Amino acid sequence: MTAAWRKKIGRNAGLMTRELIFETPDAIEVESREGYEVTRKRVLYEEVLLVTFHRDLGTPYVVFMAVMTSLFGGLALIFLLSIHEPGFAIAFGIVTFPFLIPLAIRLALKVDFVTVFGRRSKAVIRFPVRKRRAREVYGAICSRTLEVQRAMAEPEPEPIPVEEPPAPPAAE
Amino acid sequence: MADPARLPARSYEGPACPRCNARLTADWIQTGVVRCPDCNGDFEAMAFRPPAHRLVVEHVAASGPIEANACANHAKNAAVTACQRCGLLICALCDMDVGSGPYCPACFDRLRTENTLQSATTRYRDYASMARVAMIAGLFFSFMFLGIPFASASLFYARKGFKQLRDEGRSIVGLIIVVIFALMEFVGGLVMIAFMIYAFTKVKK
Repeated sequence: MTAAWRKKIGRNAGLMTRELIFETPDAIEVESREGYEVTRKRVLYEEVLLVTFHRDLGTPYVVFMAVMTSLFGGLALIFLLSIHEPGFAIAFGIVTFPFLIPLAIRLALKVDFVTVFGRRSKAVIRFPVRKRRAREVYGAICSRTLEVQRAMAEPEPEPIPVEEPPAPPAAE
Repeated sequence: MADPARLPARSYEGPACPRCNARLTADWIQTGVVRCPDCNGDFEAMAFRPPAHRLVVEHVAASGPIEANACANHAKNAAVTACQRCGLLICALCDMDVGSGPYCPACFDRLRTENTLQSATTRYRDYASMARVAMIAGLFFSFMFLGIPFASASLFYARKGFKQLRDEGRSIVGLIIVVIFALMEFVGGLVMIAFMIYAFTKVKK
């Protein structure tokens, strides 16, 4: 739990991962969820070594969706062309759509990944649809990191010399 | 000591190819379009050279005993602050400040173990989600008269969830909706039981 300001910038949801990514003034915060347990880690801007951006298809997702689409689509075609049961064909056709539409979207758009590598931890943010947002987040992380690390590298200002007060006259 | 069962299975080893996870050596950590030597995949990268932490530890001998107090743990080091919990004078080395004020290492360790230092908490329960799930389960099982226990559980978790969300500075609107539904479930359950009792007494007569 944090009382400090933070803003959600994305998520990393996969087959085995459920992570929410937040931006805080000094770090990228990653909240992983396992059931009801939330584990938090931070990638501090002052420790960032590399920020990457790439676009990927996500092969396991595409394979799974393609298999399901061909399974239900194939059944729909069999019922329509071989068994001549349009009712069943329509039913299987309807079941095919929830797999076919995400598959088409994924093939058309792919997934944008922004990965932040720190000295001790990393954060991954996925953008399946919002491509401009992915670019914005990548740019924002890079500029914030640069700002923080520049501020760290700047030499500290010289201390202002304090004048010594005059010594009291020596007692006789 | 950390629970070994809770340690991550694979430790983080530094910058790697975001496509194949092959570790990148220092030569490959560069700005621009990088081609991974292992998988030949391209990715855009921005490399940084974070400056090393400069921790300035003043010595008592350098500033003089009148100018500085000695640290409670390091007699040679000058104290820069006092622990917020026990008041011990501590040097820059001992200052355990994670955004919630300066603490000495002993107090920091104790607060972290007790889970009372919020900014140092890395693992906690999401009570808002628990309240939501209990409420939804109550809706599903309300016909089996399980609405009341589920609603009670939901309200119990919601109470904790409100505190958690307020501490985090997050919106409580979603949780308020959960509470409204849980109250409806609770009242609905009571009405159902009352109706059942009424129906039984009617049948007996």
